Amino acid sequence: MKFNPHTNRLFTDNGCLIKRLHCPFRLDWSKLGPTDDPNSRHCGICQNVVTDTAHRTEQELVEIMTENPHACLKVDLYQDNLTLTYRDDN
Amino acid sequence: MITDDTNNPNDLRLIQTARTEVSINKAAKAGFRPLVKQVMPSKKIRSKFCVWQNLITGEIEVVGDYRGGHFGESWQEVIGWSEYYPHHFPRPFAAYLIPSDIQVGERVWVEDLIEDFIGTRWNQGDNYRLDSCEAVWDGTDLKIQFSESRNRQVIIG
Repeated sequence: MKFNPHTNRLFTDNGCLIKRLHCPFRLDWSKLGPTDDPNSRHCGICQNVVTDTAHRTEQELVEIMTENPHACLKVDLYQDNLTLTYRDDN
Repeated sequence: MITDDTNNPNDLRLIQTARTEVSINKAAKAGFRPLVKQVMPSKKIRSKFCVWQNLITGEIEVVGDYRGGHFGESWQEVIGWSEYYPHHFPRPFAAYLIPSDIQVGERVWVEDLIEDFIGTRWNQGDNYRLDSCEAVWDGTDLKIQFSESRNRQVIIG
């Protein structure tokens, strides 16, 4: 996966846009509620499940976003399955 | 980073920013009080890059992550790792457009910050600029409500 921190856009390695991350609430991951999935948490503001991209494949994330385009994701700039890019035309 | 009206969590009054003489004066004529500030890029806001070029085709690849940039024998690094300020603004000044009826102590949402604050840090040394933020009008200035002390390496959205 690739992530552009200038635009908060998450891409597959092939350059397909997965999502532009966009949350005005500056949420703290550690304060989100638990879910049945240890790699997801619950946002009490939007009542959305937030999926940790560190533990998902690109294909899984594409499927999540296809099923629910408003699904929320979490990206940690330090996570191993991510490289950063400064291009949006990957 | 793209900002829009929905990027305003507490539904506060929106303070817009004008970045040219024309737009500032247009706002003044429309009744706003432009709060003019100098655009001063922070040396702390840095992105890094290196450039590789294909020796056969001449095409280039730009890499921003130390973990990237593993190209084949036909590629050559033509610019080594370098830092830069990754933003460009049209003029070295800008103005917050203050509504005439704003109240002292009113909390507002600044959609396009003029000042540089570090919004996100990366452990490879890159620091990213905060785009939008709450602020409080104190009667003469907007007091930006943000602390850089919080390490924002995690992005949710």
